[in-house]
Amino acid sequence: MPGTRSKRWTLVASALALLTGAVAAPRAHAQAPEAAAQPAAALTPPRVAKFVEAKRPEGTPPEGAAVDLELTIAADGTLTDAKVVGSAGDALDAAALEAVRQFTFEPARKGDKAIPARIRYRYTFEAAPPPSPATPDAGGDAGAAATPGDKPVAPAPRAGRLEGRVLSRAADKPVAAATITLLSDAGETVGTTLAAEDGAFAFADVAPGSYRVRIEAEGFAPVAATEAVTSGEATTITYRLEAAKKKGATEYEFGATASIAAPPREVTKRALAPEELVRAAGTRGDPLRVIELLPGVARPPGLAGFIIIRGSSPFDSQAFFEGAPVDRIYHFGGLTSFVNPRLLDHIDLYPGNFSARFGRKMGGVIDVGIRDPKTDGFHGMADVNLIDSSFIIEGPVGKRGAFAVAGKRSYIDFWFKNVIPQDVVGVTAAPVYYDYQAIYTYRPESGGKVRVMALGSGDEFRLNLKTPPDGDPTLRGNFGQSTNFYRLQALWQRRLGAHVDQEIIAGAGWFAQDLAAGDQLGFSFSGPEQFLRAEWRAQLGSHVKLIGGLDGYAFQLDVTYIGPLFQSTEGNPRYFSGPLTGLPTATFKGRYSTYRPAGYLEALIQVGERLTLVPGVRVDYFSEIEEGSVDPRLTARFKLGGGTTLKAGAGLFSQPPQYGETVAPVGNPALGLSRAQHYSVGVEQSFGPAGSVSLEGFYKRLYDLEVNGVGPDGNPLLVNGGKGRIYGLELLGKLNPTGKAFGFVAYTLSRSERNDYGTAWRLFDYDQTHILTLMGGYKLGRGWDLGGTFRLVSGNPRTPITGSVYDANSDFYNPIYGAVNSARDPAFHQLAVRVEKAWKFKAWQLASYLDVQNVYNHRSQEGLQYSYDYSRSKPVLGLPILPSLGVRGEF
Amino acid sequence: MTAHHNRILPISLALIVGAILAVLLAAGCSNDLPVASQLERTRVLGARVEVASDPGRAEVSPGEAAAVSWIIAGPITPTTLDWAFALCTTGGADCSEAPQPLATGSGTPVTVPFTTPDAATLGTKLLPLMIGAVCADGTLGFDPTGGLPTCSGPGASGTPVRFTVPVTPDGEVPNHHPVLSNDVLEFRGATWDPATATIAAPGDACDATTGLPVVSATPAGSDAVKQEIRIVSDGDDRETFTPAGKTVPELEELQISNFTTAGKFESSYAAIFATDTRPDADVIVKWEPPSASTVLGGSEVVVFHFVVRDLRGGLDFTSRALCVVAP
Repeated sequence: MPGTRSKRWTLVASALALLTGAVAAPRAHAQAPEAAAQPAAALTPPRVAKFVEAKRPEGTPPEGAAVDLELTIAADGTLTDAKVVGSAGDALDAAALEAVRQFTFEPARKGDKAIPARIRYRYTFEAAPPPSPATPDAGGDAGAAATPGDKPVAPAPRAGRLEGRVLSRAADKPVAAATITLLSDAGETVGTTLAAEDGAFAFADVAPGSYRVRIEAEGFAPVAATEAVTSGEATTITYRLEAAKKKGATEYEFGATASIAAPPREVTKRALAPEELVRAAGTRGDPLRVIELLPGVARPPGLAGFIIIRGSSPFDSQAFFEGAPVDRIYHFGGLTSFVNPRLLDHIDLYPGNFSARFGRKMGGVIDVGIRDPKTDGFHGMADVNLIDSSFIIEGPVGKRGAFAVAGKRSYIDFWFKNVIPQDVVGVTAAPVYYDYQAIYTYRPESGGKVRVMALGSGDEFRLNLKTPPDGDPTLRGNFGQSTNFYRLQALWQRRLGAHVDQEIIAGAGWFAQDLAAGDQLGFSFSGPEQFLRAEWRAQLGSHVKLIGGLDGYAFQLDVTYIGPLFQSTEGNPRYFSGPLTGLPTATFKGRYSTYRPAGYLEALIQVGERLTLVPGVRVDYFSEIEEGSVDPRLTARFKLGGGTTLKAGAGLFSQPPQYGETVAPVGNPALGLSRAQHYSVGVEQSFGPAGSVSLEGFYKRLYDLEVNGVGPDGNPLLVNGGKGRIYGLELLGKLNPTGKAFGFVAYTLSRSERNDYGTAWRLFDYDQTHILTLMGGYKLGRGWDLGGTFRLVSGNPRTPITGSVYDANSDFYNPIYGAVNSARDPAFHQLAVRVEKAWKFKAWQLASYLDVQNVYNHRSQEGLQYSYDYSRSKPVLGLPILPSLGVRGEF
Repeated sequence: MTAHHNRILPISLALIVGAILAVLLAAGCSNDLPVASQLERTRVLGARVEVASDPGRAEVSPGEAAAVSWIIAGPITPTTLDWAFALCTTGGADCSEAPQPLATGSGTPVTVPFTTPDAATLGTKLLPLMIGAVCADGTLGFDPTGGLPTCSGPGASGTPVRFTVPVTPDGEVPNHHPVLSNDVLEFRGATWDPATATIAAPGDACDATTGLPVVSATPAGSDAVKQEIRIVSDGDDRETFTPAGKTVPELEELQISNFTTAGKFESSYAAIFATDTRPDADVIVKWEPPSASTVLGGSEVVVFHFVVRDLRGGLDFTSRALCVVAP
């Protein structure tokens, strides 16, 4: 491109815009003045307003060199971050950085609105060009000026033009902001430009000749081609790019959330990057276990396996898997999650003030999504450790499809019998769990995506008590439980017109669970379930995006139940103070069904350049109680600039009774909704791609909670008579996994209280005043990876026992309790360490890992164990040091 | 403790199952807290209704005069044994009105006479509840705030006790106590004479000449050898009845509580299930002799008590003894 090969050190810019808060990448503005006029586009990349020439350091080689930089430019045009991503040596790197830091920029724009941007920028130090050949004297005698031996100079050829479009092969859609670099045959950069929003690009005034063209775009494999430019003619080419492995996929088998993030709809969203998901020490590489380390998430007791979010009951929060509610995310004991971690795409935690698209719960939401199977070839992975084994196989199907199959099974049952006293306990079914997933994705030529998924999970554990336990002489016989579910789920995404996106998720499945506690107590149920989620997202102009959806859930279960009348056990230690068979019991056998349709509407409103408002409303109906709810919600985000964002939110959240609690005679048909009001304010400070810090205060007011009353027959009866209040602060400092190190510091200070029937406020069963988590990892190099997690958490509240009364009817001592939750266990603290070594071979990779929980073997107190008459006690200690050794192979 | 977000069953039952399973998993771990079967202090082991006009009946009728016998046992005879009882009615776990004092006394036997409230008072939802305390080597009192009896003082041994007196529902056949006097107990396969319980007191020195079965104490550093005790029921122990909510009659279950003054039972409880329809249904319980280091004087009499409940208010008990000698 004439003009670029000047004697000066010339700036050659290539930009790969990576915008935050934008829906689509902008079209970059080529720096060279000869760049073709860009067609009008909604997005404009940043451009250099003031260029500063770098001083080439003494002693550097004379040949050309290029330093690749990543620049972060704020919406006001200031450069907030610059770092080297492609080095040309320390001296040249430093010179390029020094020059760039003196640049001023015009910020990127979306329409008329300035937006922050992150771009890749190549600062090229060109070699001094060779001296130009002598030119003939235009006015002299043609032969007089020539010296013997001079060659005649041919007239300069007319320039040509190279232009075309960049499209994706799979969807045949434009790849906006793809970088197109034009290189000479010798490999020198002639020019660089970015594809426009419609994929178009152009190099004007290109000297005729042969060129190499390199096309690169985020999420696509690079393409290189050789093209010829003819004098006076335009060469037009269309390039189609294949989807590439996600960033870091050679080390991690699943991708991250989309790089271009949609505007946040919630006040607080804790999103986890894949490196954090699998490298967190103490989680055995299970991404869903990392949720427990986030701020606002309390530590569950022992092997409870449930999640306590911002002081809410575990049953006030909901996990969603690909848009559909799931009863649990862990196999029993919380040892491992129910889906292969390599399939996970994102795990987002919304501790409160969540979007109107989620409902029927008043605590928090965990949204789990899976990635699409890979299309760049066949891949597989197998993982073997001390507790279970898992595998995944995936690959393309034709040009537009892809599949993935994964499975996991435990083998605790192989050694379980060896640790159980066989003359006291018979093992009918040793603990076992399994899960499987099968996925097929297809991208139609018309665009969009269709995905079909089949998944299932099972847990089983059964014992036969040959003699009653000392704790309850009335218990004997069969004990255990089993849980199984199977689902077929389909997803359809497509664009309707130019401004509307549609996503429909529908599924059906079968759920079965049974539980036995002796020969006289137990339940079983099984039956089909169905769910549907349909959402439409419409961009109305540049300031408003409207989101509306339908969300339906239903099941029809055949139930057999013999057991205690439903009571609330939270804050109710007396429930466990007598023989199990001494509790008032009831029976139920029949069909239990529920139909829960819902609709929601939400708007993302950009007010000016800084303020984003997200008002929403959700309407639900619950057939089992014949009651509906209307829950308005509002969140707001205000960008102060410099990466600082203020945020606030308020909303109403409604929750129906637990399944079966409204069924007579075991429950109360008059039970109604429980509700919560969420309020939160906070501030986030982003440090670019490196990390962020956020501080948030929250307050939740709970009312109409289910508490234990007394029915007209004198038996226990659940009623809506309780209140709750939860308040606190959450602090999160994150170092993102962009380099060798990553990690976060999370601290929560909170108080969760309940009030039953207007009595004095008391602590919630799982109130934990202080929760501190330090988690980090570091790549040592040569395939070594090291990580650690430290937790310091307040002990759980406990109700003290001050004496006992002997019941001569059952030969059982009933404890006498002090004030509910007036005592507290000692603080919990634990260190976990993870070491992994990976060996990369030509076609595959092998990794061995050691994940040690409780490295210094501190066994925290998890409550008290009492003698038969409650006259003496001793601490119940948590798990000791627990190593997990595993091997993983993948290709 | 394992737990799930169970759909229908309250988390209570799931937690209970999880807690039980966790306890069972820890069964192999050491637990130095005393268990119910270890008679380390004077305690109440049970209570049974005594109807003078109908011995063997385990239930009273409204308005009927009867008595409740409290079974007391311990490793040694206490210096003092005081007791006090009161009566109220209950619809659940606690008195539905202020209890009325019944009797106080000292020493054994502990037998408390009472008159059952009349049918009008009981209605269909209330039952008589006897509450009290048996205080060994301590001072008996009543907690003015809670109304519960107390036993205080250094070395005192006592716990508040309660017994819900079974009342025969109108029109039904009353329940009767199991009868253990005819039951056979075997120790290591040999018949265990009931008279052994009266030969000597627990802790007394003994040898093979005392007429007691002799067992060697567990040598120091060795694993205890579990001794089998077999309890054989007979036709007097279990009645046939139709449980509430069912239509098919079934045999009573028997819950057997085991107690010993030395050594350790493998389990404090045993059971003969309703499904075991044998007329001579039996159950085996296992007992470990004490360590030789605890057998002071080289030998000691160990006393056993077996309290059998039919889980409908009926109760009987029997005792045996043996001699443990240091190896």
